[in-house]
Amino acid sequence: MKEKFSNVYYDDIGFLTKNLVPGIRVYGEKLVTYNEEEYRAWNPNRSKLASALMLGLTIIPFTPSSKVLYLGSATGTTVSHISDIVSEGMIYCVEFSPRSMRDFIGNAKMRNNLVPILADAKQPIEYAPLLETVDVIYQDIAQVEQAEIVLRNLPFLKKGGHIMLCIKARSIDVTKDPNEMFKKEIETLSQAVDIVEIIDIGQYEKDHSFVVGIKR
Amino acid sequence: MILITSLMGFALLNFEAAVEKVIPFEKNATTIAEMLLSLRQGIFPSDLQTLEELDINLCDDPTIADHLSCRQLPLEERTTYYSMIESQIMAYTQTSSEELSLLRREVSFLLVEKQLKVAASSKDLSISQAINAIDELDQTINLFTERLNEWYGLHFPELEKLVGDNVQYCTMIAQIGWRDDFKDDRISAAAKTSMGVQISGKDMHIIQCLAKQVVDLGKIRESYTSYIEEGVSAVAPNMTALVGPLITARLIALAGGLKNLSKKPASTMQMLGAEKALFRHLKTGAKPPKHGIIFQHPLVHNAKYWQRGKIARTMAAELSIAARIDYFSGEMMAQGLIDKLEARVNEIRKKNQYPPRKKNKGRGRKL
Ligand SMILES: C[S@@+](CC[C@H](N)C(=O)[O-])C[C@H]1O[C@@H](n2cnc3c(N)ncnc32)[C@H](O)[C@@H]1O
Repeated sequence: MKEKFSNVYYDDIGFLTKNLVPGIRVYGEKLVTYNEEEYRAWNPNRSKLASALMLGLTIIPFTPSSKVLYLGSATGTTVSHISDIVSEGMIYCVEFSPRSMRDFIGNAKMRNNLVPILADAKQPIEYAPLLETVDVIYQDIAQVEQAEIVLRNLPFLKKGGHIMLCIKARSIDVTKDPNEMFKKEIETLSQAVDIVEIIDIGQYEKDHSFVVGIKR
Repeated sequence: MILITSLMGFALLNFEAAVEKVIPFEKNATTIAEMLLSLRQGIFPSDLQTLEELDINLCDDPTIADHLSCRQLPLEERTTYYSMIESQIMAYTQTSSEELSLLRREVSFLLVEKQLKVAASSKDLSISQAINAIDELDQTINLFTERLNEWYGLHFPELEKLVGDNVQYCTMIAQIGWRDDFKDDRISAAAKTSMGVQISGKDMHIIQCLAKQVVDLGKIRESYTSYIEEGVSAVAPNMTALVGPLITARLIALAGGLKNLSKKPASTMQMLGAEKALFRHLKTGAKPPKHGIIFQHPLVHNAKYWQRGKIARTMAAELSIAARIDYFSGEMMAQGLIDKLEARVNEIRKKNQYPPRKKNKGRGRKL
């Protein structure tokens, strides 16, 4: 097993992260023991970040002490792996579905680097008192105005900090050509962010791309 | 001055962005979470009245800005100011960075839990509406189906007896229509010897319009049912585990919400939905009802008639405990209640194996 990025491992089959809460699975993933340490297999069919990694993503901006704002945390599948990675950092997890949040907080309690926030990512002022300046904004909300929502949350990101987001070309406007829509989202982001990597993850998730940028 | 809301307290800045004043919060996660929740809901907390006496021109919180009729600070500026003054607020309130991150986490969890409770408590009202809508849909479906029995019955009166379910009956009329077009053996046999008359294409079309409406109403009914099943298990997980989603939803609707239901004693729980029979009892002296909506539960419904009242009473007792847990904590602990209910029911069955032998002395001879 090799450490490909800080706290991100690879073992011929796929990526893994060191389990922050040994013995506990979050979404039924495989647990692997290596040198007496427990790792959680990172399923690319369940997590878009893992699928981007499988398809050659070269930038993983997380360090063990990173602070992350995660928009659209759902039940915490991807969050749990980032939580393994930023073991001494903090992840602020914004989700607006009470149902998903209910499932999420059970897991979140066991990991002391998670802060759950039940709010609409379009209204960042509502959760401002709970936040601090972050190093990374991660977004996966599968909704219209994805780029616009990142921009609204950008004040929380430090200068030179990274954004990572999944863009679903279809959900923005079904009647328009996905390529056109994708270009428009990238243009919107480019107002404040330099795009540094784009990975087409259509192989795992239809019509999706994974985008990394840096705040100017 | 500019007001900035932080977890440690309010900071007041002058226009040179220097801190003029800090109004610290009590270092208690619950108090802070309650205040933030109130602000999120757009309610200005009464203990913040001191803010009214200050000269505030700009404020980051929308609810406070609204209350003080001052301008709202854009997020961009808010975060800039905050990162400049965070260490000053920490020093003033004597909060270490460890304490601050702990506080963030604690407040966030409490806030989410409170929000989820609020979300659930209005959800129960929506569920009540849905269950009442289902009853109305059923009435409408029955009404239209009766009309179709007569109308379509001109052409093929035998079909009604062959299909048990109203919506299925109407689906057949809407999709097939002419009795000679049925492929099902049983139905086409009946069609060959039908007593019905031939009708015109126009007549059939008009009949099918109504049948389609019933089919659509059936679809709405289905989606309402799954909405209720999903919602009620989130709102009242313990009651749902005990008696299933539909009876739970009906009880909530009859009581006017989970909160009201949680306040009712078991005896009321047992009678909810029996109001009509109760009035009849009071007015005419007919037999008093022993149970309301919970009669629909198979444990009560299928019980021997002399055990029913006792089983209903036990069930109502467990249900009222479940309702209280659901309203006050939402924690899942139904297994204990289910076990207790089962044990009690078995006991009742054992102790009351035989029907009471009173009043009917003459009965044996009559046979
Ligand atoms: C595709 S799922 C995210 C999956 C998750 N990132 C993972 O990989 O484990 C998208 C989530 O975003 C949430 N969402 C959509 N719009 C949102 C908004 N405006 N604010 C907060 N959450 C939102 C949805 O409720 C949903 O749970």
